[in-house]
Amino acid sequence: MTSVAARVQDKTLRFVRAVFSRYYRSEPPPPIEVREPQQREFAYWEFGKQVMVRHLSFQSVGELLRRLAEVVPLHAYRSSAYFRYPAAPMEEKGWEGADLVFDIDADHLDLPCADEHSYRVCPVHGLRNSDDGKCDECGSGLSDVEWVCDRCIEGARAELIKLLNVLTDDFGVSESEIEVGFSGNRGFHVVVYTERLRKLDQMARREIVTYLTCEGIDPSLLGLPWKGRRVRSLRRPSLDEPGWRGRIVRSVASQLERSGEVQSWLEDPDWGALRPSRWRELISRAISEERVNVDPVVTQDVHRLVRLPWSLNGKTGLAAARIPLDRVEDFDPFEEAAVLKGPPVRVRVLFAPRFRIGGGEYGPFEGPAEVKLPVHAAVYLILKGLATLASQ
Amino acid sequence: MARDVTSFYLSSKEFLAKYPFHSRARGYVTLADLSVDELVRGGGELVVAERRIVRALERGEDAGAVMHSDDPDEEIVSFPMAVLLAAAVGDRWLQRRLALYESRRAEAFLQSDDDAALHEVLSDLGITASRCGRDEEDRTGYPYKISVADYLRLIRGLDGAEWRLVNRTVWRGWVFTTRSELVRLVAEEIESRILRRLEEVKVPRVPEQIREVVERIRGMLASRYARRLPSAEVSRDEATWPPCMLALKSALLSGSKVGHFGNFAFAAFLLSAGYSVEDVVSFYAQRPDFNERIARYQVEHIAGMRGSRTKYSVPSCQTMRAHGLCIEDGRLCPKGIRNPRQYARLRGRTTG
Repeated sequence: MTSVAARVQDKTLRFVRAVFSRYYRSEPPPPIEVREPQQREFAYWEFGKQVMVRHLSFQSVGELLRRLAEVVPLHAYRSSAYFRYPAAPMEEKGWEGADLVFDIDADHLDLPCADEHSYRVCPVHGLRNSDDGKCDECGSGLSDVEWVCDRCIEGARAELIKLLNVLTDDFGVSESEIEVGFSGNRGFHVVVYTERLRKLDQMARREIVTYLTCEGIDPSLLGLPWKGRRVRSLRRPSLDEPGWRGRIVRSVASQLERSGEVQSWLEDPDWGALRPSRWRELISRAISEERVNVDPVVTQDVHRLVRLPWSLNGKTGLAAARIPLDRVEDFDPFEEAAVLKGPPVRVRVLFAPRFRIGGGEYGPFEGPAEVKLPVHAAVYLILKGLATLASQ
Repeated sequence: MARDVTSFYLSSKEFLAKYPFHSRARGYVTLADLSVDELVRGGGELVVAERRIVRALERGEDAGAVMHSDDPDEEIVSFPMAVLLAAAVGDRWLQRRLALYESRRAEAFLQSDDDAALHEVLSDLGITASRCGRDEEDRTGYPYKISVADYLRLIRGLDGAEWRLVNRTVWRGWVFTTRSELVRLVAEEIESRILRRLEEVKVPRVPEQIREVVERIRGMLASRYARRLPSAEVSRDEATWPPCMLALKSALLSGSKVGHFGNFAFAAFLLSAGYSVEDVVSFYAQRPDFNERIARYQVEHIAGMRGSRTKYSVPSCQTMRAHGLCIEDGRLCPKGIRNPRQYARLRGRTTG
């Protein structure tokens, strides 16, 4: 990288940090809350540094907020675990339990939109396509852009809603013990604070993951027609049954309603109505539609660091906004998490598809161009690697 | 009236004779309070305690609802004494075998005992479980329920597909079960309780009064229950074993619980790597329910030397994962691995 480019990068980074600092130093401060802060470990990444600062402990959220205002981190986290000595090295912390944490990321969902917005950019010439990963004009290495669209968010939201239903219906978690948050990029986090689940070890959490993802499910053990022909001896289905059996029965009922195969099934469900192989198809379909796609690694980890609610995500400048349970269906991250403020700013945009943020729509920017953007839009493109501060 | 009969039974010696690990039996004969002298003074109890251990060695998990003495007092006191003897003998396998035997014995009693007794044992063990309400039973088709947290803790040693949470009815924080399934879970808790108790008992020097019995048990272990352990020769290739197989190996050698599928996968892996039936069997010798004849038969079956003559292949990574046996979701393995057998070859390739 030339020294000019390095200076631009440096200046751009300082600009983003100044915008972040305005957020962390605002009055009143951002609504960051942490349950039982004294027992948590905290950690953060600083701007321009390559190591994570870990093993921090604060006596109160006020103390934490002061540190955030002082440091102005790129990313900020707290442990899912409760420790006796949060500031001690890992082996001496004294693990006393951990919240049950779930991560839903659009990137893991195999969404059809992913192919439509897989972009590679050259730092000089913008959008480029080449097989060797180098710009055909200047030979610079191309970088992949993690673009997020509304369909990504909707895909993740659908999984989130399924997850919340299983947590409340099957696991009996009360709504006051569930915290839902936007990740600040392309997914959602769910934290369950239920006391009796805190002590679960990795294996038990793994079991919860496979429950959600339906890995290893054997429908015949749930009394569903899966193998063999003796369907008439199975327990009669009913639409209000709990657990996976209930969800599968309801999904099968709505598939039958759509296809019109068995008109009366909703009123009088009976396994005798179809041949066994057809049940198998319907049940397979039901499972693939109803299974909850959470990231298995995050939930199993009893030492996970979780992004602080209402802290800023250093990949986007969007806040990891907390979402009240009654807002899950209509929460709009590109509006409600766009919290950065400041006067509009001139940036050099390499490339961007049309996008919306904070009430406005911008782009598309097909080739490198200097434009004036509101601060949240500018920071969003900068952190995605799609813009730098304009030279003026 | 009926209630009086029930509470009389629950506070009786007959109840404690069936469930001598119950905390009230500890009040009856507190191991910590009772000196070894007092414990062995009776003589009759020592004979019954030895009988308990011999029976544990002979029967293992096939315990049955049996009493070791006609006298409930002797029956109750012989339990902590058997624990003391097993601790004094100092053999981990014997201790695991005793815990296994005692838990299965209690299970056999619980299967036929009434719900009041079951409830008494559940609450003493701190397990949140009970009989379902009418609505719950109608909705789920199951008569009993146990809290999800307790269920997840207790199925650790059970690996059949029917125990996986995803194959259970889970509702409102409960897992629904039949009565015998619930009793099975209770037995798991009893077993780990007794094991913990065995770890707490310290017998630095074998007391004079029980030395003879201790020696006799040691003699039995050496003659009738000798178990060959894996030779050093067998472990030389361990560096090329995948993490899942290393985990199974250390679980087996430490006598921790490995379910049917884990046992099968490990045996299939060793056989595919060219180990002899003899060597494979030696890995299972630490299991508390080890029976050399049965183990050999099973390993020979997997090797294709018996039954259908099918040689079983090593389960794929996906199947291992489905059974919760994959370690860290394969992050420690070479990319693209699809079967534990490929580990050595793929790893050799990437580390060059």
